[in-house]
Amino acid sequence: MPIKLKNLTKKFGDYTAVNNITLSIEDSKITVLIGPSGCGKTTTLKMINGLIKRTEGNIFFNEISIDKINPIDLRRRIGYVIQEIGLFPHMNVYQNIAVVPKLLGWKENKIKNRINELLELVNLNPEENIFKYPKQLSGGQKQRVGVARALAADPEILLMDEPFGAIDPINREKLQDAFIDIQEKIKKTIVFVTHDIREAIKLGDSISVFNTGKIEQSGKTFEIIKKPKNKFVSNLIGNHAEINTLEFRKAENSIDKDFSAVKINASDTNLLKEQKNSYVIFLDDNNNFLGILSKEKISQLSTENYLNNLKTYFITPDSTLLDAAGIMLSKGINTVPVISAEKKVLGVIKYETIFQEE
Amino acid sequence: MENFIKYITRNYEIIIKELLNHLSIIGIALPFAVIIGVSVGIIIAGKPKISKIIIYISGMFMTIPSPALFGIMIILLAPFNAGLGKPPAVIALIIYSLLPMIRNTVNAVNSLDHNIIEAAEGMGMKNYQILIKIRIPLALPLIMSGIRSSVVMGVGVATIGYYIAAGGLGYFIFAGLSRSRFEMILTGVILTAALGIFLNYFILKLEDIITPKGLKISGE
Repeated sequence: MPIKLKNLTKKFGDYTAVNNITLSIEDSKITVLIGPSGCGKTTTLKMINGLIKRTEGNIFFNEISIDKINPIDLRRRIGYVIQEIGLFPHMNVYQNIAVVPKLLGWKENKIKNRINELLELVNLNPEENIFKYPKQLSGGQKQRVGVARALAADPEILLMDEPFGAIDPINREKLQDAFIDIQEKIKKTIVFVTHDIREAIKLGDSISVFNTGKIEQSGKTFEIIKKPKNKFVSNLIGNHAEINTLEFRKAENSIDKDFSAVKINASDTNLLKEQKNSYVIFLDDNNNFLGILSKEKISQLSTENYLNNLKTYFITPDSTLLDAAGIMLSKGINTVPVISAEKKVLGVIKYETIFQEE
Repeated sequence: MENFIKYITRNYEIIIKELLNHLSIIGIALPFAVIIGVSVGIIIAGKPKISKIIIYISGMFMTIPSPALFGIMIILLAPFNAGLGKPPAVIALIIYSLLPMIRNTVNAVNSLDHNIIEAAEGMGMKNYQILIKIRIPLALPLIMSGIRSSVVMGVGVATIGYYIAAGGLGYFIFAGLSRSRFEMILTGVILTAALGIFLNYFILKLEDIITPKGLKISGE
């Protein structure tokens, strides 16, 4: 469900926490609100589910004003995950997730099935965990239960306020990866608050940069990185943002099919010279990958010596562009082959592809 | 010692009667004290100014020496023909119990994790649902310990009931004192202390039973 914030303002006494912001939140995408603490991002989030009443402006869900929706009904239709998760310590996993379905009057059987489904979705074994209490769960498990609870009644919108903030860096990465997989399946409209730019770039389809109650810039994640509108935004994303984003881009989405490959036995010098690319990939008789050589190198070698001098570096399709860039930099080359698990050549990653405009 | 055993064996009927009297004063006062103390506590929790004043006032009541409070009760209740006997003792006991009940309830409700309440609101729970399903279950252990200190204190205070004809274990202590009968005093003291210890233990067990399971277990 798309959400529109229109000229939204929130004042606490004389203090203006959110100052006249307008923002379109896209359906089925993750929109990240980022900024330093006190910038108004959490206040904005809480205005969306009515935990904080707006001073001016309006919020529209599918073009329907928030004023026309009962706040209790609204909140039951919006999943909400907060930083400390807020699991109820006196309720077990089952009871925690069942809260909203019970409020909505679901039948016990339906709730049970839904909870099993949700625990599978967030990758927790239902039998093992369903009767555990929050104290018996690790930080990461609590977080997964928190997400499951927010999704319990299948809301169209999910609001998440620094949900991974209290988790150690290694587990945070894992949770973020799991979260990306979950969103692939559920396709909810998600508003995600964070102060971690790395997290914003990794998760966000779009990013809105907040500062002192105003939006400095909002747009697609790559637009923000490529064209920061002002000093504040470019400081926030940092000098190495473009390099950092490589880590979150899968090689399989950037494969260049325009490459030169020859079977090693058919490789006479003339054939090789005809290849228009600066690198040539060599295959065995079954079309399996053997290695790669630059044309420059080829011209220095005789045919019999190709096999001994082949460079065998490659990446797999689920590697990231950062892996590819790493190989390029360490080997001093500009093309890395992408090889499937069956040793077939899928294509190459070129230096220009990595650093081209999106 | 011989006297003491002789006294007990000869007077066990009176002993049981006064013990029951004592328990009934506490037993009648307790439900009222719990209902008043806990509900006042829940209502004023979250309102720092009001709760400060109310806790201060109930603290003042507690500083009134108990014989004086019983005396005041006699005067105040005399017009209703209830100046002597159990009613003034029960009311005095209720007043004494209020401070620990109110203070513990306020602390219990206020010490709840803010995030938990916010999560409950964000999930679309109404205020009364948050109170019944979240606030009270989580506050229960602390509220119970308030009840426990009230009861244990009440065991001691109720001995003063003897002076206003409410009966109770105070009889053995104060009558024994005026008659200089050591075995009577000893009977009263032992019974009062034993009752206090027993009730403390009993309510501790009760606390354990009603504390939600999720709050008791420690992390793995």
